[in-house]
Amino acid sequence: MKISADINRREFLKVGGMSFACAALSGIFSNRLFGSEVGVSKDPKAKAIIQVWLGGGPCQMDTFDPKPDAPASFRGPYDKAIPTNVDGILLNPNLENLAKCADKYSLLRSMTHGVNGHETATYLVQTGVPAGGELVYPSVGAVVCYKRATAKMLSDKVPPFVSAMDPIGRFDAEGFLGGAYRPFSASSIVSRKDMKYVPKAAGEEESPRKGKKKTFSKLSEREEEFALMKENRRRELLKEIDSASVEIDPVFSEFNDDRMQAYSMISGEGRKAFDITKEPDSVREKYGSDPVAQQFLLARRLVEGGATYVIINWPRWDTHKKHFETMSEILPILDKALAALINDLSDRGMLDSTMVICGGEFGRTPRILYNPPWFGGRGHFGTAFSWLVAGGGFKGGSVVGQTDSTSSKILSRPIWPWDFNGSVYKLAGIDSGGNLPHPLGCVSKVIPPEILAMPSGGILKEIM
Amino acid sequence: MQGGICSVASAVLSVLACSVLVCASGEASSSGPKKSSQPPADFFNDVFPLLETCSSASCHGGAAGAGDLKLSLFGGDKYGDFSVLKYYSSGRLLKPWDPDDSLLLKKTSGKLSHGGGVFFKGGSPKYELLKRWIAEGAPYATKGRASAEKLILEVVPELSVERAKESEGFFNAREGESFSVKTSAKFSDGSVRRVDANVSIEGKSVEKLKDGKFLAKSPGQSVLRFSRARKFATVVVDVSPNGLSEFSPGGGSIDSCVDSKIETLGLKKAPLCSDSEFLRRVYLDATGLLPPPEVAEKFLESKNADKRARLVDKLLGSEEFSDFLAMRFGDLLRIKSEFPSNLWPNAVQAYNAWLRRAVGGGMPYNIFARELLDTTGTNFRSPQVNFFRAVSEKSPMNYADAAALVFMGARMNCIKCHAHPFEEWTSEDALSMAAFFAQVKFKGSKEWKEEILYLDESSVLKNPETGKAVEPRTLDGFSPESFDDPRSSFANWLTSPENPWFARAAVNRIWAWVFGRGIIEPADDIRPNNPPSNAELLEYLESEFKKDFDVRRIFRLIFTSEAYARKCSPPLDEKRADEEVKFLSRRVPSRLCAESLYDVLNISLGLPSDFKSIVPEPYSFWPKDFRAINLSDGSVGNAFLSLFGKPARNSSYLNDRSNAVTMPQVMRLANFSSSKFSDSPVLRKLAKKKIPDREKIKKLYLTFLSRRPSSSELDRIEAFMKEGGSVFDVAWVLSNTKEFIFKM
Repeated sequence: MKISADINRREFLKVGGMSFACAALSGIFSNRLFGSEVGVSKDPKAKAIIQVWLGGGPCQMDTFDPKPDAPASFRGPYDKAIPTNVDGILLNPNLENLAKCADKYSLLRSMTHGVNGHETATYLVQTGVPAGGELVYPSVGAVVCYKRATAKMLSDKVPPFVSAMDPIGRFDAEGFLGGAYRPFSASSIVSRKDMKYVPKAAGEEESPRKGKKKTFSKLSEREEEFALMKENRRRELLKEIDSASVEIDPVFSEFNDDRMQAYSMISGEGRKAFDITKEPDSVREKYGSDPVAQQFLLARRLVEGGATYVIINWPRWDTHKKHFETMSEILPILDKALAALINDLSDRGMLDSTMVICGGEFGRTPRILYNPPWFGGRGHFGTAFSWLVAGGGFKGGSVVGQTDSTSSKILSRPIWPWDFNGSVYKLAGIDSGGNLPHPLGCVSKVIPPEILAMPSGGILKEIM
Repeated sequence: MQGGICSVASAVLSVLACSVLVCASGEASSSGPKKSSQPPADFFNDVFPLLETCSSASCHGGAAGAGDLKLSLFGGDKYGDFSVLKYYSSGRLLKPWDPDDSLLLKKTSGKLSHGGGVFFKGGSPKYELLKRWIAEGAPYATKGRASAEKLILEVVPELSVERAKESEGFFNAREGESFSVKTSAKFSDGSVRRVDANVSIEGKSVEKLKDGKFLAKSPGQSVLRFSRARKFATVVVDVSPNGLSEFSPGGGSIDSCVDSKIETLGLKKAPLCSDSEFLRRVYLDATGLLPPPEVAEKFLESKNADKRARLVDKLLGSEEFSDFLAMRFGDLLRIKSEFPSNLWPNAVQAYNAWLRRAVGGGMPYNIFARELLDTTGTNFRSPQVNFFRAVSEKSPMNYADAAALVFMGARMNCIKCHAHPFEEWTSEDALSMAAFFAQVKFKGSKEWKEEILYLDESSVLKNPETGKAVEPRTLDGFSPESFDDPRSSFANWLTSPENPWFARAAVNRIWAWVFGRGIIEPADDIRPNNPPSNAELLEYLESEFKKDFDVRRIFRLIFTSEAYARKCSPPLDEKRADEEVKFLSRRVPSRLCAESLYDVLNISLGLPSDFKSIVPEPYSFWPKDFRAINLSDGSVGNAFLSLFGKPARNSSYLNDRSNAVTMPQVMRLANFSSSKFSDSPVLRKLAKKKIPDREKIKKLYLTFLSRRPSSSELDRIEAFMKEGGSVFDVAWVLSNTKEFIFKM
């Protein structure tokens, strides 16, 4: 997609000029000044956002937009769709838990952008800005956190922007906002072992050795106390040894503050938000035993702890080969975990203020690729794909948009990435015309002005 | 207009508007008798300078203009603005039959309310000038009348005292001295006449008085920036303390230049660092790594007087130096498989192999630049062509942007869209630069992701507004007379010894790599009106570099200078803390870069590295002892590296790399040591060794801090170990000290 190139220069100035309010000021004022509180609502509908990122691109017709009547060369084995608790909404048969709570979420079946490369599509969907422009844009999560930081709305107990377990590759979530708005990797505090939940078979007892190896946090109270004591002694020594080197520079006092916050997170309140072993087995069971399912639970704990934007990064969906085998493996995991998350949030009264959005960078080719080397896979498909949205101001029980009989074409109400992200911004209380700090001192906008020249279906007013 | 921006912008506006009020109108003919017949007033020469500030971003230059009136941003399009004024609202702005009733005059003089405020009162010289222009039919230009081409500054001191060597744009003053700056313009007919200009001051050492006079208030450096009708001029004023008896011009070596500046500005100087501090610092700056414990031990023990210089020589000749330098150039050239460079793994490997060979073999920098700029062929076999391939969107403008940023240290980002706010550069200049690369085209081959760069001689760049072919011309006005491949003309111009950008950008960038800031800062924002903080120093380095374009020569000069070896210290004078750092009278710590920290930890502990490519195919594998510094691809890394600010290679700007300290980093380090130290074969071996605790502690100090522990440190840690602290605990403590995390 060529954006800036297609708009002639004068045209561009007309839309873009304001974003150059910049230059007169660059060099005279530091970037910090540009972070104005303007354009942030102190009382947004979506106080927190959980993004379930199905990286690689999940197939629209095998998930939220089933086409049981399509020819077999399209639908594959899925010749049935199951009804949900909302009349008229059908789902893939593997999504039976989600089918029971369709009143709590809505389906977007007409997402589109036409980009078929992972990196460019990921960038486009995560930022709402087409790749190739002058700036490398920050993702929605980074923008929301940046804007709320300027309004001092972020928690200081847990990191506001977390990626479980690691950040999505292929693009830099923080964009030009820089390292401070990089998502915090949950993996730097939670070990993968902790994320493993092994349901106990009846009567079976864990051997202490095995248990210890499996979960670091599953220590006895005495062990935990001992570990803490040891930790404190080391920190004490560090403090003494370190103060021996003179406090040379302001950078050091900043460092000392960071250290205090970091250590309190490792052993204090913050740590608890990350420690899913504190959840009762009955809850862990609901989400499912796969480590990725436990990340859904982690996301809920983090939001409870005060996190603003949590990404569940699940890069299993790039199914060029063995598509249907993979689907039958991962759809049930998604089904159980996502339904558990939505219901759990709803039961706790958190769904109204917590937005859950789930989808990938694109869909997959409707016609199954049987030829070598694919032997039954699906390729990349940016023309039509589906997302699920719940809570945080999004109404449930609706379907937005429609695709044709094989989900190859959008028939009505296209939803472009900027439409989608604009909706998220709206519910998160972020003015999409607001400013972001330009890395070279210019001014840039939450949604850059060149988007005005793009096709658009408008924000998702119908489900707000 | 919204929020914070608005208030900031209007603050600027009011400052500018103020200075407009202070200045007298147009060309103040200060000398000579008044001519009886004035030349006819025209837009080009008279009106445009008066209305300059109207085209700022927050006023009529903004996207939507203001109050229906939209001018070009920063007055980049003079003729366009003229047309707008003349034909605005069917001529309501200008009424030649009744000039006083013209909207333009009523607004600017405050007769009608005006968001931008009152510019001048009715009857003032400026008002009269505008009125006369309108009455005369508001012409654009007057035939045969000379136009201002250049703004010239002449600094006139009040006292005549001995001053340091001064060149254009630089002035030495003494504390308490006042001076005036005469502003004149050189006109197209060759004449030079006094004109008025707006001025802004950067720095606290100079204060503006009335009538074009300035006071050198306190020791320090200030930059005075003048502008008039899109002509800009700058003068750097160094204010010396009263007590300084004589000025000693610097030159001939880094230290002479740095010391003379420190002395001129009356700054205190920190002592030199210790051997162990030097050892660690120079290892990190040259190779990104720590000295191996045995090397550290030997160096610290050596009584050789020139051991520092010998160490520098050894390091500059090492493979590790080349590795680290190749990494820095890899950042600069945006070597990356995926978005936005999109080189893909094959080209990344080819490009990086070429780069590493060039850097390792000491290819002169002028040849290096030339090869990157004028090679043709497939990007797999002529890897240099990837210079053009590694842009987000292939276009002559982006090629020019990359060439200017990488080799001239010049930023074209502003002028791609609008006039530069602080330079005469306009979008036309950007187009003219792009024209050098109009013939660069790519075509595919049957090989996956292979692309062939070829020159299409028939391809010309057209001005999108006029449709005319654009002639190639550099930012400072050079245009080749004849050419086959305009790229070659550009490369010839760039690498010729007289070129003002090339050597300057290179040495300034190297300086910034080592010291964290350029002599011109930002180090990649080189332009006429962004002067160096120490001009002699920059000039000296340039002249050294031009001897053979050997990058190592500059590194050697830096590493063997006293300025480099000055101690990290707290401010020597609290009030001048920033200046002390800027002019190198003391050093300050900086965090180890991402790759260094990762490699140093793994090497010291004998732990395996772990990298991931975000490109799934072809399947990639890195040996366990592979170093982050040697990663050739910006798309390869891990969570640790990105957390610590490894550049994404999204752009060539130096600020793509972040050395900021954040809380998650501190946490990561604390956890890294907790979780991984128990696996360390090095620590395990040391723990098992049957040697006294004191020896173990010494070994750990050498490993992590490249020095011996003090006796009090030894006692304290020994006591800690007696109470049950293990080798692992001590290693945890040392690897979390500031002394380890920061380069001192």
